[in-house]
Amino acid sequence: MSKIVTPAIERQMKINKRRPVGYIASPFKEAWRRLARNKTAVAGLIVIAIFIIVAIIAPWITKYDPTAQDYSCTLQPPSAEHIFGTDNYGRDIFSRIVYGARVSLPIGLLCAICSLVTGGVIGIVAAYFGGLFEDIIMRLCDIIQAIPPMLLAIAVLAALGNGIDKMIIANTIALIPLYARISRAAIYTVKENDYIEAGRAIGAGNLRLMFKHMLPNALGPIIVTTTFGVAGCILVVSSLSYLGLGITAPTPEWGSMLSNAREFLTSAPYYIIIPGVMIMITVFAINLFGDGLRDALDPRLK
Amino acid sequence: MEDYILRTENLRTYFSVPAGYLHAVDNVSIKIKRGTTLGVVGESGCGKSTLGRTVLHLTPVTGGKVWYNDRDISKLKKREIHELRREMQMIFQDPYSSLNPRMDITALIGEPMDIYHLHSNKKEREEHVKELMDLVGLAPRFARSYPHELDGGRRQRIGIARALSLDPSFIVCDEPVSALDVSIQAQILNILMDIQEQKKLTYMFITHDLSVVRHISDEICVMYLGRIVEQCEAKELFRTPLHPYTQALLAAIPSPDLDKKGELQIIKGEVTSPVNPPKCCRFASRCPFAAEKCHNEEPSLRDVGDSHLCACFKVQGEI
Repeated sequence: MSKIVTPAIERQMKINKRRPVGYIASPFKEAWRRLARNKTAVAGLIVIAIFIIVAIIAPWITKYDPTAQDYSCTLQPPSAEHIFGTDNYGRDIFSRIVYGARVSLPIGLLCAICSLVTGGVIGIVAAYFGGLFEDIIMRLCDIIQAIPPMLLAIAVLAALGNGIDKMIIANTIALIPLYARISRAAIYTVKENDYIEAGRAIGAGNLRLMFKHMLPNALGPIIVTTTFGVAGCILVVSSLSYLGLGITAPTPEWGSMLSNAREFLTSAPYYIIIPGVMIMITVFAINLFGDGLRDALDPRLK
Repeated sequence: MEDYILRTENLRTYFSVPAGYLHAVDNVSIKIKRGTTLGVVGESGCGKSTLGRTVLHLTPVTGGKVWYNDRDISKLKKREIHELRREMQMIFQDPYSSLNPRMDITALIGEPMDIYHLHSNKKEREEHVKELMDLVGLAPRFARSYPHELDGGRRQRIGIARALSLDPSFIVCDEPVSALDVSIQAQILNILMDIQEQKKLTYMFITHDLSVVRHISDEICVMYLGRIVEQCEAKELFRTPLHPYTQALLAAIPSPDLDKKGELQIIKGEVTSPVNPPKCCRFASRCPFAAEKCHNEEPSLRDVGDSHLCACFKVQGEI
């Protein structure tokens, strides 16, 4: 008798082949396998990787010192000599972009990660315990959010002094309420599910319920916010640099290049387009990767 | 003396709602003999699930007492509740929503073992999970599947295996087959009964399905609006239902017999609100036999012969 094979059985057979009996795949390996199959996410990851590698090997791929001024060739359009052109001090824009990646990327990523972790934990704990505790935390967040993030960052920088590390702290504090809010809302959507109750019935403690049962099922909106957060951080940092806070003048940084270039918008448009496009590509790549990551972490989407 | 694994005395669970207190479980006293199944039946919202959850400390006790193995468990510290969960487990109603979609079967069944540190090494744990899967009839090839890849029956088997993984002696089954196809219901019920025999388990079986409860229960109690109105042996209840509510429930069971075209006795009226219920028989407003006394006084659950308990003035011969 021949076996009847329906598409459903075929699918199960495929899954079984991939996951033979006794085979233990770590959840990370499984997620990675799903991520690797998502072409756009891989593209995003590759772009991010290229940017990081370029930032690391900056001295070997640039001809010019990013801070060396050359008044004989200011505001030159892209050419063979200067492939991205030069700025108003005659500095090579390509060098500045490459070196700028060393500043912009870590700042963007660090701010987003720091505020994600602290804000996320605050939001999850608040949503989980609820009651007065939640009210107090959320009102504190309201107070912080009532102040424009830029002003808050300036105030924190004024109190702590200038510097890249302090800038990351200032940015993180300004962004914590956003992440607290998002993760609180995300936890609320999964909090009342039966499997949380079921977890409680098998004796799961608060931490296990929060981080093993609720968080993984609430990751979607949190990851998406984070990917946008990286971009936001790069832009806030650049605005602060423009005000002379945080990163000081000669240090190449994408945001400050963008603000410097505003005066030359009509005479030398490439000057503002290039750092702008760089920020855009970074943000885009991180968003693609974030989307892919969200899907990869969900075993229901195959 | 009878060997009761679980007893409750005047157990109450109230929920605070804007209009007052919702009496979900009101003065419920039950006794479950070791190794037997107590069926709890009643319509939706009568408090049968809340009763099960209160016994397991998933919902806080408002008043009254619960004894487990003659130990008062109505007021326990967090630690003690945690320890108690090893003994008392629950099987949930909806196998589609009661399993974390991010965990595969091995993780789901093995999780209780991790929480209670049952095994010191991975291999032992793996073996234990395999054993449980075998016990509930899940093929080993599903070990790495996720709940969404399986049908309802298999998912409910995971739920059962999970409840069994700590080797408990008492399990609250909260409508474990209501969400399943009729064809699968029987399989799951048979598994539950086989395991009960094998492991000498005691079940509290909550359901609204009378044909299911008849199949599995040794004793049945009928709940109406947070109170028990009738309790007796399963056979006795189906042979001689005493309370008007029980009679109406049994009359409403669809019969496959085509010649038996009797009139369907439909309970008239609406369920009285469980929020701040008046002090009277809670079924009085819908009862065809209600007398004045039923509207003024509350009948208590009394033995009316042959350990058949009933809370009705008419049956007790007072009206």
